[in-house]
Amino acid sequence: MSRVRRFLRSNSLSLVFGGLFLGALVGQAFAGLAEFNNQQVADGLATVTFGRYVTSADFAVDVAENWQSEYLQFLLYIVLTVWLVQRGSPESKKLDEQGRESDEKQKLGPFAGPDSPRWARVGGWRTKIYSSSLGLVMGSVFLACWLVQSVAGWSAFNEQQLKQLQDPQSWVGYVGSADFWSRSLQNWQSEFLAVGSMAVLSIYLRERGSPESKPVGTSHASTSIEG
Amino acid sequence: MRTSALGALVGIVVFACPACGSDLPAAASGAAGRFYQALEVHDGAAACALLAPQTLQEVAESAQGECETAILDEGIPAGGEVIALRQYGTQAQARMSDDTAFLAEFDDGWRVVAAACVSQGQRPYQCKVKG
Repeated sequence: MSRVRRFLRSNSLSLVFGGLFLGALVGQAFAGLAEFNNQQVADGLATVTFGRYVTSADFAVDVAENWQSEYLQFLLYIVLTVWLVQRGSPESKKLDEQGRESDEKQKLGPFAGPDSPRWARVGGWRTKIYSSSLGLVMGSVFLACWLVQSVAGWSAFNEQQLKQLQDPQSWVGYVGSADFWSRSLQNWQSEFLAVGSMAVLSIYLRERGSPESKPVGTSHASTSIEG
Repeated sequence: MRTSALGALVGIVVFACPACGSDLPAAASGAAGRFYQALEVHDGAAACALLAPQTLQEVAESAQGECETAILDEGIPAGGEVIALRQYGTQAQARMSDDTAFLAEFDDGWRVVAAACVSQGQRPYQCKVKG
């Protein structure tokens, strides 16, 4: 097998999702442009180019509101599954393993192996930070995307206000507005539903060969077993 | 963490700032200023050339005549100086010392969508001239 084929095969999950992401983002840009321009024509205003649209507040807020909710979803899932469990779910750890677990089980400090990451071996603040690095980064990306949503949403909202011959709002006013919270909460509820469904449905349903599912023949009561 | 903070900053610059308006606010401000100047010297043709297409059509239709003469009879107050301009995307609001106007960006520049506008609080401005 050539090096290229080996690389593609070893990284197929990331590569396919990267491709799907880019394809969907481009599709969203074209669909959003058509929707924006339809509204502009209906309002007797000028249409905008593709380049202008993808750098507009309208496109930015639509992208950012989805990004923030996805990162929030994974942040909560990563952090809450440290302490919360679901009997029978492969997404949960075993019922008696709730919490941060011992250094030995987590392979920290003196229990680290030769191939353990350096920050897991060295102890002190670096190990402490590294032990929460996934949640910290997901949380930071969530907050950054939510902030971008608030700024872009504020600009898009005010553009709409001006179209309707109304005064624009301040950023603080927008962050407390129905538009901002409607955009945020409609995304959050769908993410929470999807995660909750996954945790519960995977107790009873199987997908042969998927690491997100228990092996097909595993009992419904078995927790923390992935295929 | 530093990477995340940098990412946030880049995100805000890439996403939010272009969203705040693509052209210099001076362009919209200039169009508003020229519109009120034209009215001040009773140059109806110049004022109409600065109206958005739908607004121009509305002015002409409601007067059942030419925009050039009708616009001078709309009772638009003298605008005076542009004291504040707020622009978001393709829309802008010019607060003049004696009036408020709304503008939109077209391929050939900014055009007045509504003028002689009076605030109605939470409701849309009441404008003597609009599309």
